[in-house]
Amino acid sequence: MSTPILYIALPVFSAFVLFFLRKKSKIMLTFSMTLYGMLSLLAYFQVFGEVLKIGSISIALNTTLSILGREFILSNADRFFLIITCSSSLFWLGGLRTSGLSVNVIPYQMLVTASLTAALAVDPFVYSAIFVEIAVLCSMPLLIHAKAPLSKGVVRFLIFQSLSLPLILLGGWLVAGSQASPSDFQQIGFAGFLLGAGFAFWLAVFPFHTWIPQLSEDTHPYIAGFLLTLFPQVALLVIIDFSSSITWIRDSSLFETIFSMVGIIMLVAAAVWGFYEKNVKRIFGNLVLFETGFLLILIGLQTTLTVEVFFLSLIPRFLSLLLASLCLTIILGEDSFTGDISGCFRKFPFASIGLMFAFFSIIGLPPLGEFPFKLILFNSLESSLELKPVWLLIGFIGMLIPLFGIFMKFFQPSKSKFQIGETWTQIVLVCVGILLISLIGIFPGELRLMFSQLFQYLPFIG
Amino acid sequence: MVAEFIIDFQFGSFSSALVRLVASLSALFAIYLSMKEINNSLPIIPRNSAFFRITAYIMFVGVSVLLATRISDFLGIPIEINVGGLIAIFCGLLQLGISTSPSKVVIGIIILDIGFASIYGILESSLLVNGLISAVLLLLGGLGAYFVVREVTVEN
Repeated sequence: MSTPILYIALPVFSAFVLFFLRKKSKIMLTFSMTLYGMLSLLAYFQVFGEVLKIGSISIALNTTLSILGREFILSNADRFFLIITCSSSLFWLGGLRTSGLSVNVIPYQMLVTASLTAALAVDPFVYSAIFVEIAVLCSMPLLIHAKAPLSKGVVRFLIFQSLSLPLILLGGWLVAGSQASPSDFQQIGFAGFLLGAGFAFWLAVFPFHTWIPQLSEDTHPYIAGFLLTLFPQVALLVIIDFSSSITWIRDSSLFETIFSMVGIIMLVAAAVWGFYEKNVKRIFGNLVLFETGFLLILIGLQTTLTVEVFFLSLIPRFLSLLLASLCLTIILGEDSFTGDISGCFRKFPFASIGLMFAFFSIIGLPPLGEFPFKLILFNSLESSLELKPVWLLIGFIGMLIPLFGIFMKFFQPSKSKFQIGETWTQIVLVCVGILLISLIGIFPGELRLMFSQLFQYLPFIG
Repeated sequence: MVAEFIIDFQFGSFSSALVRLVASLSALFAIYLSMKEINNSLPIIPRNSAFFRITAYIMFVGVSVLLATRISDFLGIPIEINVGGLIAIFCGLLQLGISTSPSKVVIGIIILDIGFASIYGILESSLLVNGLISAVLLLLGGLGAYFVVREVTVEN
C-alpha cells in the first residue's frame, strides 16, 4: 500500500463507483464524507513511510508509486496539504445539502481533488500542469448550469488554465536542462519567462485575473468557493515545491523581489477592482485574489517563520472561504445568480453575520482567523526600507472600503419584517464556522501547537 | 493533425505520434458527431471576417517559419516539427481569439494542444506524459461535444 494509492487512486475509484450510485444520495454523502474524514485523520496522525497499524493488521505505507517510469510521491512534506485538502473537502461536503446543491456533484468534486493531489505528487513537478488541466476539465460539470447559457467566466477559466499547460511543461523542461548548464542565461531567462507566464495564468495574476470575479459571479457560490479554495492553493504549493527544489532559483536575489512585487500588485489590483464592485459575488472573487497576493508575498520572504505562517494561514483561509460561500448561498437562495443582498440582515441574520466574519477574517481584521498571520507579514516587512508595507496598507484599506459598502447594504431598511430565514442546520453550520474562525484568531498559538509535529517536514525555502 | 502525425513519426516515436493522432481525431470526431446529430448548418462568414482570417493565417504561417529556425537552434529539434507545431499553435490561438461559442473555444484549445504536443513529444518521450496529453485531448473532445449539445438545448 502506498500513500498515492490512498489519496489519489482511492478517491478516483470511489468517484467512478459513486457516479453509478447517484440515486442513493444518503449513501453517496455518507461515504464521501467518511472517506475524506478518514484520509484527513490518517494524514494528521500517521507518519508516512512507517507501518500503519489498525488493530492486529499492519500495513507498510510507502510514499512512492511508480507508473510508466514516472513517480508519484506523497511524503511527510505533503501531509499538511493533504490535511487541508481532505478537511476542506469534508467541510464542503458537510454543507452540500444545506447549500441546496445536488449530491450528483460529489463524483466530480472527488475527481477534481484527486487530480489536484496528483498534481502535487507527480515527480518531476512540471507534469503537475497536466493534472491541473485534468482537474479543470473535471470541474466543468460542476460549473455548468443546466438552464443558463455558459458564462464568460467559465470559458475564461478554461482558456487561461489551458494556456498554462504548454507554458509550464516547456518552461519546466528548459529548467531541467538548465541545471546541467547553469551558465546559459538565455535559456534560463526564457524558461523563467515561460514558467512565470504559466504560473500567472494559474494564479490569475494581473492582468490575467478577470476570470476569478467572473467565475464567482456566474457560478453557484458554493461551487465557486470550493474551486477558488483549492486551485490557487495547489498552484502555490507547486510553486513552493518547484522553487525549493531548484537551488539557483531559491538562492536568486530576484526571488523575493519578484514574488513580493507580484503579491503587492495582486493585493492592490484586487483592492482597486473591488472598490468599483457592487456585486457581492464579484467581491468574493476579488478577496480570493487579495488572499493569493498575500500568500505570494509570504512565499517570497523565504524565512522559516513566513513559510510556517504560509502553511498555517491556509487553514483559516479555507474556513473563511467556505463559510463565505455557504453564507452567500443561504442569502442569495435558489436564485443565486443575481447577487442582490439589500436588506438581507432582516431575512437572514445569521448568514449575514457569518459573511461579515468570513470577509473580515480574509482581510485580517482582529481578532478573526487570519489576523495573526497578516500581522506577522506586516512585522516581517517592517524592517524593509522600501515602500512595501505602505503598498500593503493601501491594499488592506482599499479592500475594506467595498466590504463596508456591502455591509451597509445588509442593513438597508426594507419593508419585510425581521425574521430568521435560515434553517436550523444552516444556523449550526454558520455558527460553527464563526466559532472556528474566531478561535483561530484568538488562539493562533494553539493552532501552531496542533501542527507543530508537521513543521519538520515542510519544504522550507529559507 | 495527419500532417503533424506524418512529421512526428519521422523524427520521434511512432507509437506516441499514433496515440496522439488517434486521441486528437477522436476528440474532434466526438465534437463533429454531436454537431451532426443537431444538424446545425454552418454560418455564412462575412467577407471582412473571411479576409481577416486569411490575412491572420498567412501572417501566422510567416511568423511560424521565421520563428521555427530560431527555436530549432534553441531547442535542438528539427525545423519541420517546429514549423508544423507552431502553425497549429497559432491557428489554435487565433481560434481562441475569435470564437465566442464555447464549443469552438474547445476546438481552439485542442488545436493548440496538438501543436504543442508535436513539439513537446520530441523533447520529452515519456510514455506517461504522452498518455496524459492524449487523455487531456480526449477529455476536451468530450467537453466540446457536451458544449455543442448544450448550446442547442439552451437555445431551444
